[in-house]
Amino acid sequence: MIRQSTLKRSFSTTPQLYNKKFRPLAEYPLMCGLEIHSQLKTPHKLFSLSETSFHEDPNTKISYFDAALPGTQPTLNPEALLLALRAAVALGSSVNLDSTFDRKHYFYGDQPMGYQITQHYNPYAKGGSVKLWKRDGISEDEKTIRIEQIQLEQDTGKSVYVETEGESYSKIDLNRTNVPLIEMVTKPDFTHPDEVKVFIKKFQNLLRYMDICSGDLETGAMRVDVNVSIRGGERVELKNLSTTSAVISAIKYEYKRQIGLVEKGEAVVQETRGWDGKKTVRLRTKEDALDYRYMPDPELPPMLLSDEIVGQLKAEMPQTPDQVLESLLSTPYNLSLKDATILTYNLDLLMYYRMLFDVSVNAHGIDPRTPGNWLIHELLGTFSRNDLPFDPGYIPLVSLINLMKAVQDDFISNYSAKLLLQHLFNNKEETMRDLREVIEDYGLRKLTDAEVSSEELTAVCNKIIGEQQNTVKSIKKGKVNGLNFLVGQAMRATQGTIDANVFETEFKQLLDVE
Amino acid sequence: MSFLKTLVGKPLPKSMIKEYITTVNWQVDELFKQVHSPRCDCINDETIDKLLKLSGLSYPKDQYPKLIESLKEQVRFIDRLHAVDVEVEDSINANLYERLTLEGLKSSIESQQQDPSKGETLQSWDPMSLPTESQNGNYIVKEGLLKE
Repeated sequence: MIRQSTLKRSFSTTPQLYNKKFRPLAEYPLMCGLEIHSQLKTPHKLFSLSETSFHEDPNTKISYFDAALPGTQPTLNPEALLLALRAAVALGSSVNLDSTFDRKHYFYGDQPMGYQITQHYNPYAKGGSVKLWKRDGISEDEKTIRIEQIQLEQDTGKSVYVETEGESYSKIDLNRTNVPLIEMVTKPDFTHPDEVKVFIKKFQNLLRYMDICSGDLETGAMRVDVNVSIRGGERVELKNLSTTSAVISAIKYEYKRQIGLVEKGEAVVQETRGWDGKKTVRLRTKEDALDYRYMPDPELPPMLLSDEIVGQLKAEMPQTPDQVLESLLSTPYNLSLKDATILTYNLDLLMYYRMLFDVSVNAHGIDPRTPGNWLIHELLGTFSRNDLPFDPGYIPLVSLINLMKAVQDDFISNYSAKLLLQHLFNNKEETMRDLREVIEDYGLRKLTDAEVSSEELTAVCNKIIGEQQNTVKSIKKGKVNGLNFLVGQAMRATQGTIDANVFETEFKQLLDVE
Repeated sequence: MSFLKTLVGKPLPKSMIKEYITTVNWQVDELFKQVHSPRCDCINDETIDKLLKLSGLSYPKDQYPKLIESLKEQVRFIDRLHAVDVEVEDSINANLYERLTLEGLKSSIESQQQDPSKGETLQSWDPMSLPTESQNGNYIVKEGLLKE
């Protein structure tokens, strides 16, 4: 079931109870499988064309069908089908050309039809896999997580249980009713929580790349349920996990709970448990599991697809995140794994980088290492320091290219260019001006040898020598690394307008060291 | 589905239709009176309890025998329906629909339009006009729906 619980959601308040290095015990191998529901990024619902919405006033985005008014019938939103097919192709699943819809019955206020339309007997996709690599954060060199099946289905509404003195009732909002979802079910291939964490991250990113789902757990656009068992015993399903850390903490807790039962001589029973932020709690056992009375939906014809559709979809698919990462690690980008990973997980940043690289390197002959350094270490670092997400429109591409070009042309030192970037960040309007004029106006232009007055140079160096006597003493004792510190001080004092080599030579002369 | 084309044959002459519907081949009653159905033998008070739980309804215990008899009739009827050989019909039905191409899928996405007569457009109807009770735009379901 995909109904949202009224149990208090944990979100970021999930305590980090199990941060200690987790190691499954050899005598109790852990087996996990995931069921992930993802909302498809279409503006319309699955079997009606009312709008999908987040944070709208309750019951404002519902059609007659969504509210299950008698006489209404479902009509499939073809965009949901297209997005679902793209997901199957991206995951390497085998698309069922003759899939059908079924009704899954259960009685609840947030499901006005009394059943959910899903794909029980003939899901639209089976098989497929996601590869995890050591570089993603798992201990093995590589691991394949196999996919059991993917089905297309509708979401339920939301219900909020209210209990006041003397009465109890539920508030029902049907805005989410009939929102299109795909449910992806993996085989129980996970043997460590780290693999689950990496998988969720990669799956989210893949769906974002393909523009299939926003991938946000926090908004409920993606919801994860986990099956946990030990030593091949009965499996326990964990629900109501609203963040990745809740998923991981719940698996670790459940693993220890099941071992505890076995060691006491008790059996692990097949049941569904929730996560209250500290421990897993029983929701229902196998005995009171619901009988869903599945039946083929007589109001929906089978989805009959042409033989060519999968090949055609494959041909127009964008690169997967793994392919993008590979390309960033290779020529001409040659980024470090760390930088390439940062770009792979931020699509806006990746697009900005690619344009920056293309224009600066190919059109202006900038060193290929420079765009990555300036974008990831300087600009992205500035966003982080200001506690802001990266915004590609904040510093225009052309400003950053002109800045890199000015450094390459020796018009401004690297040191001053970094200062200037901070200035541009804090004074966005300055990005509209000619960059070299701004550099001149703030006196940041690198001075030529002829422009540097030797008296002033000596005066600056002597002042620093006077202020930094401890460093000077260590230099004289032979620790010449201290010279770099003095040069840095001098660069700061002159805002980087004088070349570092000029200062180094002057300090060596004044201190009489080689 | 709107993008699937249903094939319709030639209309039948009226006389043929009249003859067809006035000729008695079977009677509904027969379908309810099948002598033996193993599934019917299993229907008891427990079955009714389970169904009531699933449907969220209640029913007086002393009326159970009536409900059991009615349910048995329905099951007999369904058993008869299940006994019909539908293999041939299925293969015909599968051919009634055109297979969807990527081009067809994309064009149906472009051409789809919200229909106010289905309440799909904003403000085409007021969902709160139907219930007798609501709270800040929410429907209210009483007697609690406490999650398990």
